[in-house]
Amino acid sequence: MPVQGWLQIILTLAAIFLVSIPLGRYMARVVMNQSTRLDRIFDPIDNAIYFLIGRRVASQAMTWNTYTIHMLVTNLVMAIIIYLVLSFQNYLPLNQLNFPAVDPLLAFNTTISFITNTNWQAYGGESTLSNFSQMGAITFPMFTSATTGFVVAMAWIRAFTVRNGGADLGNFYRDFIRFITRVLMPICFIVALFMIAQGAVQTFDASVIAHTVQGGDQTMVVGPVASQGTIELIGTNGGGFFNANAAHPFQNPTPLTNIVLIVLMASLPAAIIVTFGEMIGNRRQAWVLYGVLGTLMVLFLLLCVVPEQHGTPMLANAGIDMQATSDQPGGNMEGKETRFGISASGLFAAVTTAFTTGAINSAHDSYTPLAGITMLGQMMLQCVFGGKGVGFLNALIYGLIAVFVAGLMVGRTPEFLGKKIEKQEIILVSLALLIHPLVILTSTGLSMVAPSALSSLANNGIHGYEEVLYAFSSAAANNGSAFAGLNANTAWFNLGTAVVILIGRYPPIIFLMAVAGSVARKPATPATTATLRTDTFSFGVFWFATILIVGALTFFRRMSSGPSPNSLRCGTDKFSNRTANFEFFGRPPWHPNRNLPLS
Amino acid sequence: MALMLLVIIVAYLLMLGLVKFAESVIDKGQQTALREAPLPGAKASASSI
Repeated sequence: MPVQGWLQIILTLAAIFLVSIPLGRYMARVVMNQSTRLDRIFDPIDNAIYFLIGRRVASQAMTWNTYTIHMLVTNLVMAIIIYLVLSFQNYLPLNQLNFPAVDPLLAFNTTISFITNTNWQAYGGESTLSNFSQMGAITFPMFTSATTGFVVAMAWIRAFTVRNGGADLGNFYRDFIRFITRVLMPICFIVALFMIAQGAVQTFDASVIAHTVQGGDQTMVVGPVASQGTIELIGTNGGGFFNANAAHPFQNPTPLTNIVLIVLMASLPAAIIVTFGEMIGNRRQAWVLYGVLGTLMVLFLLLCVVPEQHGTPMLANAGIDMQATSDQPGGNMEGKETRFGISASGLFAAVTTAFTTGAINSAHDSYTPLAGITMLGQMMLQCVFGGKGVGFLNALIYGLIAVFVAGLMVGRTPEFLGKKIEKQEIILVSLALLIHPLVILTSTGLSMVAPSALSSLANNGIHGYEEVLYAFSSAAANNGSAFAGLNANTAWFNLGTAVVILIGRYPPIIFLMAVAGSVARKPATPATTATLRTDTFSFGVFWFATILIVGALTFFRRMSSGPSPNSLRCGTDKFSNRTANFEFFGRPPWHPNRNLPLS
Repeated sequence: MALMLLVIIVAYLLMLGLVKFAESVIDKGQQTALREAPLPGAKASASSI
């Protein structure tokens, strides 16, 4: 890769790191109800909202189950609103292009997808949704779903700091409102203005007529793109106004906006770890976690951009120049924007799957199989920083398992942040951990034998399998990006991905909140020389190894049937015309055509 | 349309049921811990962690 490509990657990662520190400290002050310089502006806004919903509701102390129930009921009410907006968009304003009501199955899928911060899109925004739907059913839940994940994580952290027996983990509504008004809204407002200045579209109009150089007219869909595109990235949402998402020049007009979008989608999930350190009063613990996740992310990033620049023998044999020169970037440019090139596209792809955003600026389906491992692997682990709040909680799941295993190994009582980790916490943590692979593997396996699912595939064999695996991994991880090549707007995938999204989102949150409730009731144990410290370099290495080992034990078989053989297939043109898994490895003994020669 | 709306509501009700299940796991664990807790003044045995 050219030096400027590496420089771009290094500077972007440095920017994410530098932004996350002050942002995380500011968010800690917001969460802990401490004064900030912005209180004069935001206090009146917050007070007006508290007045509307009732001051008592916004001030009552909540236990873990009260907090969780209020979160679920609020999400249900918002889901109903989103579903109704989509179902009646033909009667609602700002439908200048006269789009019909969204099909019930697609509306169901879209509702579940957006209320859970997944933003899986089985539709093309510019050809399906009115501007009212884009704002009321898409942009609105982008704020609330991101906030839901964040406040749950904050309540979870409080469980380790409170001394009230778990009677007060905060107030859901207060946390919810303060995060939207004091964190998301100000950042979105400033960044949206910057995006507009760079050329992103922002209007209530639905279309403009462009006169082409050939003398014809072209109708182009426009709308409130800059505002949606901003919260899409800041909230780790990923649902684009256009089908092409951040590859569309109306949403991501310049290489500078591309870098800003990457920094945006990474900064808040990274900042949460800094917030964590501030809230527990142990910055060292936060840096250990930051180091673990940062190392994982850099390794996955290298696995993405290096093979992309290197290309594959199959591409080279097709006559494509793999060497970067002054007038072409070399490597695998298929499916990538020439404006961004390999480094900015690969970085975007690695970050969007690490932080489970789901926005794309290139076609993930066209990446080399090794880069596919990065995308799939990060979504499967779901904790390489992960989505806002939920990714952080997933990292802590691995941390609690590491504590438990390490405690047993060295003969010490497992403790995390001064609280004993016992059987009931490990049961709940294990349930939360197992749900993710269970829904991915079950749904992928069923799809591989269901004719209605197989008919959606644009590719057969290994790559077709990867497309389905990617779809359900993306849904379960609440990522929302797609591998393309898959017609997802069918009854099977609309229902299947929605169910996987729901199970991938709420049960882990509920189980982890229960863990919070359980540890909050326990008295803090003072640290002694016998305490297994979790804020040391050696524990960080153990944490890192736990993530990799548990992840590999869970998902290695899936990787070895998808990206790995696909990589071998691309390694030579010898097998380029063989698409089916069994045709590459030889047919298994039970295959009816096992004695016939391979095609 | 109404059917899918109903499915959304039922899905969230199931999640509320899951909260009750998680509560029972915690309560059971704490009852077990209380039952197995050593009496005041009891000495640690070879099986103590």
